[in-house]
Amino acid sequence: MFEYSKMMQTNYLLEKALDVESLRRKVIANNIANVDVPHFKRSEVNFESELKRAIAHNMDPMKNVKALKTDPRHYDFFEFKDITSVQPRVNLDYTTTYRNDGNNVDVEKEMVDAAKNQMRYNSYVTSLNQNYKVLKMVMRTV
Amino acid sequence: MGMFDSFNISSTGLTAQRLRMDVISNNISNATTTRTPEGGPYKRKRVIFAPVNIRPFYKSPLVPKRIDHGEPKGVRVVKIEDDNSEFRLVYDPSHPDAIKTGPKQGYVEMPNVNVVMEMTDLISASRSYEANVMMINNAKSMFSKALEIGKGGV
Repeated sequence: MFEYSKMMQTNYLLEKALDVESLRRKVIANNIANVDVPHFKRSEVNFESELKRAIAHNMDPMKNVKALKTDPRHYDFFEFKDITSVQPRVNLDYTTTYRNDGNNVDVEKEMVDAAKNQMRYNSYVTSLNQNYKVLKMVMRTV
Repeated sequence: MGMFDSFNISSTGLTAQRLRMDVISNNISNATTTRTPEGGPYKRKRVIFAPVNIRPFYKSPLVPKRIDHGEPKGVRVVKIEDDNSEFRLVYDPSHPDAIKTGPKQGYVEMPNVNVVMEMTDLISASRSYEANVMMINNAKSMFSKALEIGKGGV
């Protein structure tokens, strides 16, 4: 019924963000577990910047110029990017070296990332709850 | 991708660091052992770590940017290796394991264990252990937060 409403899109994004945070948690845990492994390279998860790019792409008025299509094989100038299709990516940081043994895990940074990850996760849960609360309120008053 | 994968990953870290601490304790307690079943003084042991998925694969041979280790799975101990560096020589002719003949007569070969180094390694291992414990505790509080989804009042 309202799967395609804005509210459910918010819900979807929050769900997705929770998934991404748990993936990120896994990657950070892996980095910390491998802190004493020579030649290990850390990885990081990239999702927010991709999402931001997709949203900016859709918002840009220059990208909303419609092409006149007189044939079914014609292309649009710019493709509309569906934000629900944005996927997280795990990138290996293979260019840097932090210590003499070729490892580039900085435990302090990983700890800060873990703290950020946890707070972000909590805030997503809170706003998901808020979303559900609003939905419930709407259903009750009608 | 399971829910508790981050716990499993951190626990591999705990296991590995615990083993490293065990090996370091063994080194320290054998710092003056001059007689072993293999003959000769005790050789310092050290652990070799490696990531569980060790073989990276290239999504494209032309674009190394897409190098990928696959799913993160944590750390494992590959082997416990002997350190074959020089033994420490201590002059003590009355020692039962002292060298009887040759130019090194009267010297005792002591294990190549440097206690100071072992202590710093021990601290490093225990800090890494703590880091993994912290990851597990944080993940626990995160998951208990996730249980609150949809729980908010009427």
